[in-house]
Amino acid sequence: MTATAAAGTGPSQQRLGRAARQMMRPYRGKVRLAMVTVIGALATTLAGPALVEYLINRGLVHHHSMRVVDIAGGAYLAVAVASFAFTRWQTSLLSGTGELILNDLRKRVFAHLLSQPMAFYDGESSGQLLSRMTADIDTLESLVQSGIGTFVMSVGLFFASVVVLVVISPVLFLATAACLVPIVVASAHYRTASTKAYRAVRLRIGETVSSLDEGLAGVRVIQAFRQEESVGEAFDRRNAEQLAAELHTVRLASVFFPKVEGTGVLATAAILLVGGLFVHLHLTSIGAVAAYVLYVGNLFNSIQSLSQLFDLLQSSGAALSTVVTLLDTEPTMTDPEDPLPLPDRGPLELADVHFAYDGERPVMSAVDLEIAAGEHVVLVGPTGAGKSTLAKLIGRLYDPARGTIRFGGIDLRCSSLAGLRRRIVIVPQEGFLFRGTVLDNVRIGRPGARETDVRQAVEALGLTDRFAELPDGLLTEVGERGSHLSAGERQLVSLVRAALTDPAVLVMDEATSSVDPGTERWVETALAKLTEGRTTITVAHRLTIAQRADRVALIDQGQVLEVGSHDELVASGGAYADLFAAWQGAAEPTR
Amino acid sequence: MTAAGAGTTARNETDTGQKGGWSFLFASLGGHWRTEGTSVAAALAWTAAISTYPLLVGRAVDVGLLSRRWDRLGLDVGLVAVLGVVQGLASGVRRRNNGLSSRRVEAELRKRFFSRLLGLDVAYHDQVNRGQLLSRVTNDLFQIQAFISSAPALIGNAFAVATVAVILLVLSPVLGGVALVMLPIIVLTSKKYSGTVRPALGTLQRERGELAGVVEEAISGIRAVKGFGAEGVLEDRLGRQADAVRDEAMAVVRTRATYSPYLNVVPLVELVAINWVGGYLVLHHHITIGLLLAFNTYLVLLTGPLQSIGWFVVQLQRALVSSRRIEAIMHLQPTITEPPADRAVPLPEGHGAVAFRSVSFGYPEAPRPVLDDFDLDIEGGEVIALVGPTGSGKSTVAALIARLYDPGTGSVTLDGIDVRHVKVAAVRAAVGVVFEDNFLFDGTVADNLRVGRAGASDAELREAARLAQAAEFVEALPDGYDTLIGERGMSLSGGQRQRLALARAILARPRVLVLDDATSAVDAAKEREILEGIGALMGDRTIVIISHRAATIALADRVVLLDAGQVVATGSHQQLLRSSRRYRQVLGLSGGTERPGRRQEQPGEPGGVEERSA
Repeated sequence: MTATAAAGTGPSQQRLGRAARQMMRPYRGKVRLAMVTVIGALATTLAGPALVEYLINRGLVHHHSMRVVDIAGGAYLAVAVASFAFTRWQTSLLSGTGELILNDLRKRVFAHLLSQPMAFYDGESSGQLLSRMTADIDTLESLVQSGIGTFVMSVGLFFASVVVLVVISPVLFLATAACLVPIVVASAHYRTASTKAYRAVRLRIGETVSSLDEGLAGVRVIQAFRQEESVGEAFDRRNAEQLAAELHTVRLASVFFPKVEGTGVLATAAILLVGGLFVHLHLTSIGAVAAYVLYVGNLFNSIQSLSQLFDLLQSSGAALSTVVTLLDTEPTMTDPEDPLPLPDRGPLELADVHFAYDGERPVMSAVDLEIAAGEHVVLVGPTGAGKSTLAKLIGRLYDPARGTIRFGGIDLRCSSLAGLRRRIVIVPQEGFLFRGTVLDNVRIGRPGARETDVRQAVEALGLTDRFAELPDGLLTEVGERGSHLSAGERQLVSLVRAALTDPAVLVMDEATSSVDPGTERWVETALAKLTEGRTTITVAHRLTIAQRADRVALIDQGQVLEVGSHDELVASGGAYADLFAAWQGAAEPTR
Repeated sequence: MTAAGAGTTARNETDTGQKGGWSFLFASLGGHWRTEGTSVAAALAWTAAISTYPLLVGRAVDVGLLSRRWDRLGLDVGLVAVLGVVQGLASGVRRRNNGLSSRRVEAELRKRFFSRLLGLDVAYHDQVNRGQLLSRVTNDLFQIQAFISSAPALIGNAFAVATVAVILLVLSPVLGGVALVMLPIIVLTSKKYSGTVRPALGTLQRERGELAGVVEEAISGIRAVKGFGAEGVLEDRLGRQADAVRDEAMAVVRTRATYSPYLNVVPLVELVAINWVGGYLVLHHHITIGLLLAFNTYLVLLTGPLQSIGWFVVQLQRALVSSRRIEAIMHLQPTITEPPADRAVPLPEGHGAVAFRSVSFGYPEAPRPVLDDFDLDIEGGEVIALVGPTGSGKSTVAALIARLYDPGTGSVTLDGIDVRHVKVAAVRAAVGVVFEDNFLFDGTVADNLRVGRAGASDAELREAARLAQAAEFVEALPDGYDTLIGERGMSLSGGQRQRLALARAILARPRVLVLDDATSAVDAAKEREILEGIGALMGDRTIVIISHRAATIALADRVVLLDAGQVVATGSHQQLLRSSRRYRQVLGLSGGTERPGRRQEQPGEPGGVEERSA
């Protein structure tokens, strides 16, 4: 799903209704109780006028009874107390349950996001994804917090008023219904137009968030190259587009709702006229017309309240629809029904592997490669040759378009992803750190690991002393994006993560950030201990590392050109030999 | 001081906005008072229309229907119809204008907020949580917008309450007094309600920001998440934060459930009071039934406006909390500021001589400063290499030259002039920095290169790409220089990105070119071609190379060894190799990093940096 693909009409009303019902299902009891309080609150709203009528007709006009005054007063007081209680319960039940539902929704959308394969993230703008999880769900929360009670009550009042009107005078109701026809026609048109308009706003918000996120991520370069103005202008354009989309909704609403309000009042005028005519023709009583007019007021009041809320309601509807669109994106990489367990150890076999990121331009074609258990293979080749892609395929961040990758004889696609990640781990050596302590960051490798497990992993890599140097040891806070640690320390954390997972296969990207040899020594020792006995595939950016691997695979233009040990390949005098010679020559200092 | 400034501001961000926000909220409406005022005027007209409406309908029923005076009925029906048109128009004008003003204010704040963020120095951005900032742009600005767009209707409601109060007191001082005795209760309850709900709303906004932070981190770190299968861990993390948001939201719900029923029940209690008391007054012939009915009509009319007070209280507090949160960022002052106009000095012609004089720099929360009384002279046209262990302050030195940071004490001069006395843009134009994490913008390759110099010709573009060894792969891209890159475009490898960043800096023709580990992902053969090409091109310009690769460092005229924020040795590569044990250590040429075996077979490769055991 891309932003443009999602810009269409989005999921159908039925789909949204189903999604809403599904979200409410776990809270059926509470939702039902909430409905009881709504009905109670409606009853108190409708009881008031009835009591006043009773007071005036029975107590004041005909009997002059103090008792009736007291009864009516007392009953009205009881209604007020009941209304107080219902309002309180209604608030906690409706908003409270709404919060629980949104809490589920946040977790579900996030889990769904994370269940998507890498290919999804390549095609999707991170700002849009962020926007789904933040702006969109927050909009739903605004509805839950400040609109849901009024919304439900208004809808209730609308239907209650219709019932009352039909009871009082079916004939007049037909007249009223005739007045409602233009409103219904206008709303059908408005609804189509506004649904699209509000949805467009949600996507525009996502674009603005993207722009903002990008600006924050690149602030260093932006400042160094004095791009504040041009980046600011690009943001302004997105901002102006969002504003235009929002103003479109404002215009639509500011034309539609006045029509509804005006029609409501005109309908009352028409009812007075028709009522007069009916009274004249003795089709209905004067009292009925009077009562009818009052209740029509109720009907239009409820529409009025709904129109006040309309912006929030439509925004929420659109937000829900973008979120549901996201939830409806099936992960292209799913677990098979009966996942096969992967063996503890085994060879890796790539057979006739083809791959293209965009489905068109091939990045890998017809790759065959066998890697024995415990072997260390280094992938070398010019930048853009496909080394990293091959590594990602082995770690199943992507599935090949054609061909198979097997571990221990089992096609990776036949295993569960969770099972796969216990056997094959991809170690990005520029370890991305999350906010929290070093310990938290290491535990990402194996959720539920105890602190002692982490300490063992640290010890196994010989890093106990190195981590002890940090201000609070393993409990040192790493800061935003790991900014409190040095590049080398971040690499070390990444390695301990991998050690904690204890996989059979390590897929590594050689770190490009250079680290001083002081830290480098620790990294080297840790790497040596980590890779011992494990199948290791390393994407090399420099050739030093290739000399010490068991075998080297030279990748160029998405194909494996040569495979063999460093010495063999150099001796054979092929492409690798040339590459190595060039590299060696360059490595000699000339000045 | 830069560092201290960055620290205070970072702490300010945890401000949950317990107080204030009024002035910011009002100021943000500046320039939109006409639109908002029109909306308020329309809201008042609308209120007047709906207040008149019951009177007309009542009269139509009483006089027209009951007395069967059809002419009067016709007149009143006509008036009601006119009123309908007025009400519709007023509603349209109100909606349109508050829609315009609120959305425009929001867009304007969004723009100012972003431009403020871009103006804050790198030291601030190093430590800030992006999710919190994003959440302010989406959620907090939305709260302000929602308040501004609903304010006219609420003012209309207040007007209705005031008008009706006067009418009631005129109609019957006694009964009016009974009805209005509740108003002070509303005021007191609202006040208490505001005070109680605000802290909860403040915490709620902050927790939402934290939640956005977790999501932002997960999405930017998605490769690490996928590589380790860490989805579960992050889901737990998000789950905890979502629960924190829920708990705060629940606290707000509880406060609402405590106070809003009081506000909702007030109009009902008023109705009870006037009917009960009024009933007796009618029975004792103090007032007429008609008057009691009128009171009923008016109080029913007031129910809506009075009940909206509760909503208003919360929305106002939300807007105030959010205003504080936006204001907190808007009030941050960039610590890197332009020199006063009368004191700004133009950069003299020069070849990029750089001098550091007793420079200290540090982050407030760090145990020790990054640079401590640091002195360094770089001659114009010199090729100098900065070498030192991780964390020794090399990158900070680079950033100080481009004035991305300001020193805490001491000064940095460029061709003899303190960089703080020159326009910031002039310094940054004179100093080109290529970082290791090279950020590429959404756009074409050519767009990205022209970031270096906007007016560069196609030929210059190609020349810069050629020097950075990027031309070959760029030309192989599907659309060459017009290929889209960045988040929405082609994904490039690390080495390709670095070379584009380099070409960008070359195109800028700076007098000082700083390569901060800028070729780490490029293989050594390419790197050497790049550096030699640049050297030839730059001629009499200064080049500062930060690297650990001995082969790279050896290309420099002079090497400066940094350790713990100070210069510990300078000299040529060969000299330092001979004289400095620490230098050999840092480059891994002595003390434990010597390895037997293959290393001995290739003496031409003195740097051991890219050595990695298997």
